[in-house]
Amino acid sequence: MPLVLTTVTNGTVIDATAVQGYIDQIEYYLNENIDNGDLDTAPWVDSVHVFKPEFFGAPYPRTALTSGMTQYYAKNDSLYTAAGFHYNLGRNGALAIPGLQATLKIPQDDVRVKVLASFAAYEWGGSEVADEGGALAPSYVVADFHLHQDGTQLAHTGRRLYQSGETPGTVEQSLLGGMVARKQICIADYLEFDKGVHDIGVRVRVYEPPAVMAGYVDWKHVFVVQRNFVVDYHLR
Amino acid sequence: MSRVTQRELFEGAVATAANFNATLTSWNNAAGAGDISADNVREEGLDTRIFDVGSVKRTFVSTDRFAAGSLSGTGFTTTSAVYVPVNIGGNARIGPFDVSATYARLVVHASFLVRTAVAGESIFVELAYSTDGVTFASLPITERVFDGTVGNTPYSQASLEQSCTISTRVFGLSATTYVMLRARSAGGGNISINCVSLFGELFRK
Repeated sequence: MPLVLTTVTNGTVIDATAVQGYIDQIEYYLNENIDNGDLDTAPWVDSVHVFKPEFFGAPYPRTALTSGMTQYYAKNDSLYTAAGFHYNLGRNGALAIPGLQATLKIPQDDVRVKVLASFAAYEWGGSEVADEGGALAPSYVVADFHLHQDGTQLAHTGRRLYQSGETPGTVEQSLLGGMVARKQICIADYLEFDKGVHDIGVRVRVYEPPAVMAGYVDWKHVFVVQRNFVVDYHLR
Repeated sequence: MSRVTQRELFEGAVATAANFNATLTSWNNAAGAGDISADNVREEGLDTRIFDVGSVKRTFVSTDRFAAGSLSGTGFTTTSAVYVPVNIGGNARIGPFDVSATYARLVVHASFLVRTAVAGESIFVELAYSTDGVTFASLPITERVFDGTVGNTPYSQASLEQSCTISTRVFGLSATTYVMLRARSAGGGNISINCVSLFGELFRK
């Protein structure tokens, strides 16, 4: 509320009580009584007036801005940081891939979230030939990947991984057969969230290997490396 | 301007009403309705937490998204030698966006899964734009080419299926700009596009 100090005329007695009254009014105004009606309605807030973005490091690196938030995760190509999976881990369940997950604290409804996931994946340790199937029919699918929004699989974000070649037994195979059938995979999507805490991330489902020989399976482990995950959303 | 100037008082000087009132009026003029402005806020003095929901002007003014397909289906298939719209329950098309303003920028992302058994450079995928939603033309530098490799005995088929994300920006077009994902087959064989997410954000200054 506006501050209104009563003016005086010659002859008005100004004693300690009067002076303290003025001071109290000013204190009250400055400390707690300024409201939106006291602000100039013409546009005057510029970027220099706004506190700079805040950058946070591990384990959830992110940039907090006035108008939004960006979260970004990156893991390199090292086997030491690879995310490894086996069918027995999930038993047809979708497992969250470390480094490709984000938890969002959304303060309002109808927030648009841009999600970009890029990573490489390969199967290793199996015993079959590299074969993705002929024509449009896939075969020897080892695993699939999907974005999940609050635990719900987004079908339109599906990606597949196929098995690698057999264990090298000849010179030719040593040159080619032992190479892993590595896939570079990317998923981008644009999602909408309401107010609250939400999860978004890429999950992998490793398929049950067919036992073509007794005690022998066609594929073994799935490794996910070079993981990059960027989540960007606008607020306010 | 919202500044307070206090009238100085000197020992021994006559205290007049005018002297006191100069200070009081200065306060009243600085702290009236609508008087607080940029002069009263220091640099970086406004914290993110004080802004109410909906109080910050959005930098994007419109959005649109097309999302379709699943691994359980074939998605979109074609043998067409000329570009045709990717169609999974409808054409993969977004818009209209008004990108006619000087500072308008439309940022587009298209993410999809592509597959064929045709050898060589057999699949062409690109983004195209239209100003009427009917006639589309290529968006420069968005074309992507994919191989299908077959008969690699004894290693059989590999490199048949790949994922891709195309990102670009569009500006200087009409107030009714559409963007489409389309594909063609170079070898005449059947190609498949599946699991498509096409979305755009229109930013304006």
